[in-house]
Amino acid sequence: MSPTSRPRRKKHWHALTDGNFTERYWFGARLRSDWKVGSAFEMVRSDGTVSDAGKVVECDPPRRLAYTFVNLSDKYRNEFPALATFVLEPHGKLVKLTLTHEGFGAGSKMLPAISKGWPAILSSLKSILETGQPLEIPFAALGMD
Amino acid sequence: MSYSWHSVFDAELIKENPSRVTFVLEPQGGVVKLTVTHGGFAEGSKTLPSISFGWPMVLSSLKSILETGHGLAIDRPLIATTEAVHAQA
Repeated sequence: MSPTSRPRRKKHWHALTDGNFTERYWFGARLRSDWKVGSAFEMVRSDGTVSDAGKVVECDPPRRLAYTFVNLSDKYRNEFPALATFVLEPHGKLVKLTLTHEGFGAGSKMLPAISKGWPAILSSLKSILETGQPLEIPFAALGMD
Repeated sequence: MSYSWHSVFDAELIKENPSRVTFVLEPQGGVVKLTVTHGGFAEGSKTLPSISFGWPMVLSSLKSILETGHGLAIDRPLIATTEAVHAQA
């Protein structure tokens, strides 16, 4: 790994773990956790209520972050908490972010929902890191039920 | 927009049947959503892992150039090295 890749990944790591920052590009969601393995992980709406909750499974800054979560609305709350894993790798002078979200139960309603949500969130993340501005995607435009 | 795709840069890939790439552009709120679907590969296709490696870089760079005016500076030697590792996997 080249010495210059470290600060760059730190910036990405911050973008994935700092609630004040996630609020700007993640449909207003503030991520809340102390990021210790086994600790609670929550997505907090602007009104302070928790929309999604789970646990930190892996935390190895600035390389790997993994947590489980379920959405707490009636439609999804009884689903198995699937695992989201973020991997940050140096790619020349760039950083490659790979997100894997797996472990959904058969017939999961969460899987089609996150399949619409993640591309929008990750695209907005790339925009804010490169331009300083997130994407203005209204949540309703994702076409979720 | 849709076109057929035949990788001809490699002696093995050139033997495969052409696949198909489809681009769909949709308004999504105030932004544009681009969906790329590349399908029609035979079982054991070596073009599939090759394009799976290539498209994320190309599309990521496309988004960068549209939003910032600059494509991503992806090193050519790095691409060759990573692609070779990828092909062995």
